[in-house]
Amino acid sequence: MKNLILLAFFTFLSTISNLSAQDAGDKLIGLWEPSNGKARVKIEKIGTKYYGKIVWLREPNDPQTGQPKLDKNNSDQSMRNVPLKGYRMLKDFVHADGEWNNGTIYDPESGSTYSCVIKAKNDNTLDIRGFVGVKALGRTDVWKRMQVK
Amino acid sequence: MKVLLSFSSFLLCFFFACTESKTITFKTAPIALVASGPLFEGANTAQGDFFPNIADFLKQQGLELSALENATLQTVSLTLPDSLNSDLVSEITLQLAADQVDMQKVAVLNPVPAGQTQLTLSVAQEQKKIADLIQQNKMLLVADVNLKKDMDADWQATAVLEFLLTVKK
Amino acid sequence: MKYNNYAAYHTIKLFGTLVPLHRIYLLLLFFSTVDALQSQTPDTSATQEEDYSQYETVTFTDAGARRYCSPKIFDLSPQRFISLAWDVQTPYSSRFSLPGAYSPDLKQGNEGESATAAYTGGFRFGANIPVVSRNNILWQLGANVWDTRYNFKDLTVQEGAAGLTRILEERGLRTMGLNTTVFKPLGETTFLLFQGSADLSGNYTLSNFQSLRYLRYSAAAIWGRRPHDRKQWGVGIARTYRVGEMNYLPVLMFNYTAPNRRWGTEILFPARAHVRRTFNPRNLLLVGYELEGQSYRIAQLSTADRSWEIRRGELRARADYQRQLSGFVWLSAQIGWRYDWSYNVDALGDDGRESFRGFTGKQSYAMLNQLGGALYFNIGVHLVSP
Repeated sequence: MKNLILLAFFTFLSTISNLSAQDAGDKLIGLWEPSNGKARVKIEKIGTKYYGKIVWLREPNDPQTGQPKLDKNNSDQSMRNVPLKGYRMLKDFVHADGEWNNGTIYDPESGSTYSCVIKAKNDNTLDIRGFVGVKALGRTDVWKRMQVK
Repeated sequence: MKVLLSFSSFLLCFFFACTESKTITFKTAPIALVASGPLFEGANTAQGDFFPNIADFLKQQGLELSALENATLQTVSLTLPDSLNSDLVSEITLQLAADQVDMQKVAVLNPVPAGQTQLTLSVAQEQKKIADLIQQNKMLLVADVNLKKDMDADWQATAVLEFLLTVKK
Repeated sequence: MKYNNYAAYHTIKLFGTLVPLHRIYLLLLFFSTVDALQSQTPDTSATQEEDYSQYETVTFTDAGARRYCSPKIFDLSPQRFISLAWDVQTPYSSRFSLPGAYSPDLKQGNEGESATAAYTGGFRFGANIPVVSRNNILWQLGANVWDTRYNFKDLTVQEGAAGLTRILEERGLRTMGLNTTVFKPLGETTFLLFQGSADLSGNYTLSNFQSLRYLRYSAAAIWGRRPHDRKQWGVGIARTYRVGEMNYLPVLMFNYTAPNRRWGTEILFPARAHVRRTFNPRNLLLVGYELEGQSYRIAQLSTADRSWEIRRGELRARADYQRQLSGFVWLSAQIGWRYDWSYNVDALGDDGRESFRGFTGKQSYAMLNQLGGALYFNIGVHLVSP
């Protein structure tokens, strides 16, 4: 009986360590929508870090040109013809202590990059805080997980 | 006095020569980029691993790794297996990433000229942390490729990057 | 013997074969470690590709999730976390009446003092920090300190004059305030905006501080709509000191950005209204006006039962150029014309209670004063908000 219990324990251990190592940071992976509903962002893992790219825009074309929107506010002029659809606006997030930090968020409207920290309020809600220098000087946006109908 | 002047000039020359920098070109071997099919119209991601081994390269030039002062990306060329691949692509953006260094967007080609198998991307004017990236054991090339229509097969390319290294003489 | 007993006790039959249990444990432990390692270093070769068209037909995973409108529209001049500015005016004429009781219908009172204000200027500090900054509510707390110093020349003083010129030269005027702003989106296109502030204004110093019963309160409440990313408007009501004395006024907000993103408006009428020219996201010009005002208690003129307060109101027509210096640090440079709306003095009850005159009130002023117009310059450095 004791052997069976030990066997069960080790099997459980193997399953648990597999699950927990995967779930901890990977909760961030998926499709998310910021509070203003203007875009949808897919977060994926590349290497050991998490990145998010714009996969949908409510208004995909520039009203002035009728062409797909580009990163025209980028401070680097040579990068102003990068398309916004597919743009990696969340970069380099590392999961530690229950949050994803050390990352940056890019605002295509202003061409500004902010420091950023992400916390998961629950499985379907993220607090994305972009800030300037210290976390107190920033703004939190709540992103909601989306699913295909 | 004369001796002092000569000695001072010698010291100045010595000092100047010791701290003078020079530049060397570091061209990578072709790096395979793959986006596994089936692929869909819109943005897709192709990735490739690159192992810079910059220490070995510098050693071949008679330099230590500590001599590396700065690095900038000069050119990015992509070779596609056949012209069909270029016809299907509207834009390509290339980023470099590594575990210990922030991802950097380094080159873009928009629009992609059709019917080409050799593409040269425009390199970013503002570059940061390239020296840090090139000193990593492994670098990831992440190419965001906008496809004009769905495609069943893999999208493949090989990338050759040319860096300009500034090193202490 | 011992080994054989051990073997017999700690074995398990797997597929007809007796296998020592310790080997099973080790195997499971090995697999658990390998699994964990693999999860930490996932396959970094080509990622699974996605059908982008599927991102059109999606829904919230949480049924109760909602969208909220943003407090900003495109291209608004950046909001400031911390500001430090220097404000200075060119020389102008000043005329202060003798103390008395003057009807508001009068243009000027019996002359007491006249002088040229050779120097009027000082620093302005402001801070505005988000306390709660989420997509369904934005709450900010702020503080400001403004200091104005005076230097007069060519002074002529009549007998019985209050000596206001000398008093202003000695201590100047200052105002310190705390303010709060709450932006509450009600949905994707409607919102409520509330602002409130408490200001202590006078010629007090840190060693001769002013009683808090002379705090003056202002507030505004606006209901508004944000139909799209380039337009935001609202209507409301405000209790304000912007013309120097307390008044209740309707408020109209209208922020707009043209489709070409090159120009727009930033209007919070009647407090301020500007037309904006956007050169690029880091460079803009505002042209318009702002009303500034506070009620400044003058300690030396006040008595046991009367608080003498300068109802200082100014209309500043200006051009305000703002540009990014580096990162989130911005520079602003204003040049404009300062028109004197009011510099009259009220003698209020000492309990600090306000007297409301509005547009039709007939309460007398204690002094009727006029200041000539002046050019002014204001240069500031600001830490701006995302």
